[in-house]
Amino acid sequence: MELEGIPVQPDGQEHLAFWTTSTPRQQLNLYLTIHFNEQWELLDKGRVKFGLKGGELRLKLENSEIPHESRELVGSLELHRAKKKQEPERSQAPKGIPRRASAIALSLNGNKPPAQVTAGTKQRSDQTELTPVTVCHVTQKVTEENPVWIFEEEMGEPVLKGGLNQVKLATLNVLALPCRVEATFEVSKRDVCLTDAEGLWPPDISRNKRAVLDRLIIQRLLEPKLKPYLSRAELHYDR
Amino acid sequence: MTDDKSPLDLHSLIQHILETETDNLEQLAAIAGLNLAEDFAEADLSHTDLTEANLIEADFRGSNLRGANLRAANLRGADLRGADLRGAHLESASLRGANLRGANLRGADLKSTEFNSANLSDTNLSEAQLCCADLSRSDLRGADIRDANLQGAILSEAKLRGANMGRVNLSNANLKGASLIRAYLGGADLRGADIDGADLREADLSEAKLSSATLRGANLKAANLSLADLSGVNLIRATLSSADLMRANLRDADLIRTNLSSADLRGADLSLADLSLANLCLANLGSANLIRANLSIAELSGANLSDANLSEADLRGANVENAQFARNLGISAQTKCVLLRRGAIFEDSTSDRSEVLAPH
Repeated sequence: MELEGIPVQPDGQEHLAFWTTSTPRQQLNLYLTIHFNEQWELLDKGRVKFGLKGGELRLKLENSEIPHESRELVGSLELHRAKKKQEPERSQAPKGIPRRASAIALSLNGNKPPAQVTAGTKQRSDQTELTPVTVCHVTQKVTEENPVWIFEEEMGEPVLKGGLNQVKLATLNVLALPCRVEATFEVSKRDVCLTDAEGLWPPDISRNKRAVLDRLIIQRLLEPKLKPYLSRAELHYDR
Repeated sequence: MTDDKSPLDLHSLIQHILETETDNLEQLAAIAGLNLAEDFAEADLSHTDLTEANLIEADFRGSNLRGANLRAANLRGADLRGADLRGAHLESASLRGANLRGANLRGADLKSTEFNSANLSDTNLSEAQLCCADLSRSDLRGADIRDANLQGAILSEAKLRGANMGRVNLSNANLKGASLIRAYLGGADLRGADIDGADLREADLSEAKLSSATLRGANLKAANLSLADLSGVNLIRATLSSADLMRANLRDADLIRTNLSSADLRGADLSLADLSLANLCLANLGSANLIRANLSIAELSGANLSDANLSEADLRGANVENAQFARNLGISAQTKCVLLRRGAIFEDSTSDRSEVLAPH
């Protein structure tokens, strides 16, 4: 997961109403890059493959705010997968705009990056052929003080696959400097789905036993690895 | 969060489950240290066997229970919001007070299932088998019940506002006091159903089969009953004001004291219908078949009876002030005179020799 902030160019003075102050408000457009995929996890002499049915993207804001009307990412979104491998590169801010925000993607579990996250890089869309893989439905939680986006698989596929590249998430109002945004992608056992297993049980296992084993593995093996969050990104803006 | 021994424990637990004799899901969950009623929300339980399982107030929100066998299971008060129950078998299961809002029950077998007071709003029940199911006082607002079989089901006092019940089979069902405001029941089979006291305002019952149904005191104001089969129906004291009954079959219907004011009855078959004391004020009965209909003491003021067949109709004591007659069969010259004296308006002088009972 990657979060990127690009300063918004202030409007011309002719657009300002008579009561606005001469000091324009600092704003950042936030762009999200997130990728979902299945991953194998070793278990004794076998292994299980799992993926995510959904999750929650939570933002913690310091010295900044995102009004409800500035939260943009919502609705059904096609998750795409790049057809050919692209050379990773650093993102480019629009010409003439100083880019001071930085994005960091972190994995909770240290040793290996989580499968659902592509950390710290993004791909140039103009050189990548993207194919839709799954459809994700995104809703916003309006009851919480900090912005929360809920991601859910929409079309009956077992798990989310593919990604969103640099989609606009929201516009952030900078209230003071330094400004900090912490994004975490959080999942619960309800969001995890086992999609395959090898070397753990016979193929003719009963449906009841399989259902219990799936739940057991999710609850005992996978869920603890995904807590307190699956992925984290931080954005600092100090001008 | 996990200790290092966890994977080993997990492995031995997996082995234990694989080797155990039982295939009972409740017992297997207990071996795994899981609570079936708490730990399986959003879980994949598709095609599992949960026959007679005790799942009172279980949390199955968003669970995949597609094709699961839940026959005679106790799911009272269970949370099944958004659950996938397509093709599930829930015959004789109890879901009293359960919350199934937004659940998908398409094609599920729900024969004799108890859904009393359950929340089934916005559910998909299309093509479900609900014969003899108890849905009394359940909330089915906005539910999709198209092509479902609800023969003999109990839906008394159920909330069905805005539900889609197209072509549903509700024959001999009990819909007493149910709220069906703006529900769509086009082509539905309601033969022999008990719909007394139901609220069907603005409901769409076009082409519905309602023969021999009872709708005493039901409110059908502005409902669409065009082309519906209402033969032999009991609509005593029902309200059908402004209802669309164009070309409806009301043959032999019981319409005593029924409010049909401003109703559109053009081309309707009202032969042998009992409309005594009915309110047909401003109703449009143009080209209606009123052969041997009983219109005694009926209120027909301002009604349009042009081209209606009134052969052997009983108009004794009917109020025909400003009622419009034209080209009617069954109006003798004598009857015409009587009607004219009572304030009826005749557009022409065409009449035949058939008798209409309209004494002075």
